[in-house]
Amino acid sequence: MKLHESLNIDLNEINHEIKNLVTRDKDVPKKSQLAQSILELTGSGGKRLRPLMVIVGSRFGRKPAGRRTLQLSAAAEFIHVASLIHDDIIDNAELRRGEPALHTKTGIQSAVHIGNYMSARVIELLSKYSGDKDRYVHDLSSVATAQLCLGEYQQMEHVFDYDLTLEQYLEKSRNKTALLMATCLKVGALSAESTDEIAQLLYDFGEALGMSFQIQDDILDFTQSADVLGKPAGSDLRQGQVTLPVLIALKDAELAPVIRRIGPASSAGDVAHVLELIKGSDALARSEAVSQDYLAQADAIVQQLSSFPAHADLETLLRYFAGRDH
Amino acid sequence: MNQKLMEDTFRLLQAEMSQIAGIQLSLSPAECEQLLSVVERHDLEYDRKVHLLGIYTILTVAAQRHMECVPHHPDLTRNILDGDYLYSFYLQFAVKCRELDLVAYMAPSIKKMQIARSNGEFTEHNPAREFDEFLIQERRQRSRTSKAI
Repeated sequence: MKLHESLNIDLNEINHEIKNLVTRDKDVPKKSQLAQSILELTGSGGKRLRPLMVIVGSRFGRKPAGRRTLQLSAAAEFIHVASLIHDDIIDNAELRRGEPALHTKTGIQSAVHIGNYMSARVIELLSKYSGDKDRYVHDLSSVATAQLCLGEYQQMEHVFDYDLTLEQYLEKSRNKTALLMATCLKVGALSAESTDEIAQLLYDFGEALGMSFQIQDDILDFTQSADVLGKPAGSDLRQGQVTLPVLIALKDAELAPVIRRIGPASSAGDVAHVLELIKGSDALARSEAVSQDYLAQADAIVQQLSSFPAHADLETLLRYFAGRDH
Repeated sequence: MNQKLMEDTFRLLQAEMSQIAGIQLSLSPAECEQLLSVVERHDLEYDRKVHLLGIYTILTVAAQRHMECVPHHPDLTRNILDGDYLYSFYLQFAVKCRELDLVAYMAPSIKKMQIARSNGEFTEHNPAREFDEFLIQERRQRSRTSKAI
């Protein structure tokens, strides 16, 4: 069963809302490159994790989810996809979800501004909620997006930095991945008028889940094929990203000098050799244990929310994240 | 007076921005002048002038950084991230300064600028004119409200 089915969420409704964000924008011609690019990207089979989290969050509110929740769920996907467009330029990635990355088709400057359009469209849409108590609607576009950028800065600063500390790695992962997921759950809850305390618990749950997600992502870069990942396997190491498995492997006195020799000028053969060495070590298993630890933290928060029927949805999310293979 | 306003604004922005981003915000005197002439035309508290010049500065620099995103530019990554960070910081700063009505007013024109630039149309976007229109509209609304009372 797919995640949205397990959560009893109508994915078609979310997809329709995402599509409407661009097709109902009277400033965007239907046949334009911008409209077509966004429809292709948002329709190309993303997992919709963030919109689903917004909807799940809303189930902890004191009122039923309404139009605002649905708009926030679509906004979360738009913000995520906009960040992927810019990420692909930064990473010089050729592929996204198995298809040519947007900038390879439109050129860099155009792709940058298509991503900007998506972010600006979200702000335009949500600006109609202008009351003081509605300020949280902008959390996705302001705080969460700013943190995402800070994570990217931190990643850029530490390219091929084998002296990166575990704390620095975790902070980067929190900023780059976990806080957007946390914010999705929180704004979903607030959109259904949850208490601030419940919204904060959901935020903490999302943060722990997001940390586990990022570590799993780091592990999958070693274990999955390019077909499954939709990008070449081992991309992180090749691009100088010192992820958790690499950090753990660096503790091994025999592996460390070999890993440290990998730099921007290393050959594909050298990188492949190090990938195999790390796979053959206990680094992946120990990374998995850290990921599981974050899932345990998330599980403890679920127990605090057990009076809500929707706590079962959080358990569903936990099971999904624990068993994810792509 | 204007020099102090500019200095106070840039000091506030630097204090509010994350040091991780490492962005130094500044505008040329000519760029500043476009907004300074607007805020001087309206009867505004000093702090509000600082906030408006701050928002204008963030938006102007964000757009500039993304205009510099061209292939093989040595600072391509930095320009993308700076622009992205500044657009999110714009919203954070505006929320903090309680300028969400301005954000709502500006949203359609900022969006249209992004559409035009995605199509390779790089005509100048001058947010100062929109700030002026917003302040005029705000004054009219206040005047109507006070008459009604």
